[in-house]
Amino acid sequence: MSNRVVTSVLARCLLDSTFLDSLAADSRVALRDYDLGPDLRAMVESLDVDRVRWFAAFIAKVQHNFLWEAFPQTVRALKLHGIELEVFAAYLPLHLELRRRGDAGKEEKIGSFLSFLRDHLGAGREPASSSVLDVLAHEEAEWNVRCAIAACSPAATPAGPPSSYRSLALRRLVPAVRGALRVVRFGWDPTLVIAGLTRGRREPSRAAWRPHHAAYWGDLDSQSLRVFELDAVSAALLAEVDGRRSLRTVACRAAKAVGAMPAATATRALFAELADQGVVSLAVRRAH
Amino acid sequence: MGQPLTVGQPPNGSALVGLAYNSYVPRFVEEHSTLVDYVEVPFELLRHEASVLEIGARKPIVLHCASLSIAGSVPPSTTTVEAVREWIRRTRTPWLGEHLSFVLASREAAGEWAEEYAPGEPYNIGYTVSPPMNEESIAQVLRTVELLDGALGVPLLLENPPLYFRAPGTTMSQCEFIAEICRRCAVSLLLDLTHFYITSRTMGFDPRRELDSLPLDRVVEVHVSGVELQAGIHWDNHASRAPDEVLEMLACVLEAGTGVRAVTLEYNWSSRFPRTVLLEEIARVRDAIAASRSARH
Repeated sequence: MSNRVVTSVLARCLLDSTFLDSLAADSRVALRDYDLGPDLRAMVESLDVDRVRWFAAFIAKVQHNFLWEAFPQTVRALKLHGIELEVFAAYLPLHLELRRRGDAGKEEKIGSFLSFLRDHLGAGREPASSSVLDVLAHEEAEWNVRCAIAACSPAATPAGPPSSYRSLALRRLVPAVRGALRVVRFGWDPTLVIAGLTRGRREPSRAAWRPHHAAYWGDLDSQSLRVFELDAVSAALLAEVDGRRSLRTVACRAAKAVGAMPAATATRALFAELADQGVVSLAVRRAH
Repeated sequence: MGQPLTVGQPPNGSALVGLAYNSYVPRFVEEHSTLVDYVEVPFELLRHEASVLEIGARKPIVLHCASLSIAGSVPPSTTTVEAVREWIRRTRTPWLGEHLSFVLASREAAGEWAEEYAPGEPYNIGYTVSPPMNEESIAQVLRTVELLDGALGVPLLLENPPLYFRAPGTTMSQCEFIAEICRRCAVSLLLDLTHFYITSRTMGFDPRRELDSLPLDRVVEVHVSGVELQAGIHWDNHASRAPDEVLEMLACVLEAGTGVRAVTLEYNWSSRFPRTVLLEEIARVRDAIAASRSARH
């Protein structure tokens, strides 16, 4: 019968991080309700709790092998920086809570982990956090857009700007994204960081530091993903498009982000170009 | 459905080479059919994604399992055993590999209703864990093996788990534990060389020397995969190539263990596992098999 109690304690250590903490803090108190003889109690009290904690983190890591599919470079970066297991050790309470609930699908698990990882790396405890964060942002944007276009039917709105767009006031033009779009601001160029990672280089080269904005667009018609670089004003404008706001409202909101009102001609030209590319549609709002 | 593997020795007397299933495997098998003799598929995957059985149209399937909790105090549910039996039938696997571990455990002091999401249910770790290695575990394993022997309809292979810490109540080494089980019953073994290597690192012994204390004549299948060092501990890693020491141990086992029928490359944790590395790994394993054949003749 002693094995029954020991395996129960071990299982609880691996599934209940609060219990593991209490075992580490005061094993006598943590084990007081367990029916263990004096010899076995002494053996359990001398359990290497740190190793058990790492093992629990390792199990959580293995149970996230699906991350390799959409986030291979983020995983690689965590490995190369030697922080993968530490990250999963920190994530363990959240992971176990999701497991206990029992009904989380893969997308929810990914979302939960990414949200945690952003906060964890964002706290800046790791020296290379910022480049890993940019790799994560790149892969997350790709994943978000791919998921979004896979879940939608082809766009009904036509590509190309309306013929009258040049003569219309910005308040009468309403842009809407055709497909799915994410705009991301980077400090590091993720493609250069990834190129280094695939060569086994942990630290990005100085050339990889290249602040810029990128748009990740999922084209519903072709079900393909396109990434294009944007200047800060264009990125701010595009980020405000919600399918209801007029170009005038989009520009006003973007002005708050960039500190100056975007020029009307430049705004009009940008959205005409995006409409030509099929990224947005431009509807004409009736004049009052 | 591909031809099932037969339980007898392969025609040319050498071990077959298989891959553990991952989403990249069907395409790899299609492109490199002659390099892969069979595919090892987890029962747990088939249970949740039955379409994986389609790989059986191309290659024989060997079924692997992590749900029977053979060395635990809580038996698997009848439903689980029935489901394993059903997948043994559908895959036409020649044997079932299962870990010499526990995955289920009773909720002793937590109280029957302490778990709000699964009241009264045993703990399910979701990962196999080495039990306390002692007489009580041996007796438990022997009871379960006897029970499953009639129920499964195919031979059961027991797989050595990696030891990452010493379970309280342990009174013997893993080799002694396995050897004693084999002495008391006719069960066969699935020797995971990477697990054995990891155990040697955790417990501090020479893996090649210690191999001799295992009943290698019982080994039917061998697993090969990678190892990763994190937090000062060696971990199982099915996303990197096996270290040279594991291949050296494979050569020893192939020379000593005349019953080795199959060597499975377990590179199934990453769908991005590099194909060039996989090809090199298959070649390394096939070279080891060929060398052992030459040495025997």
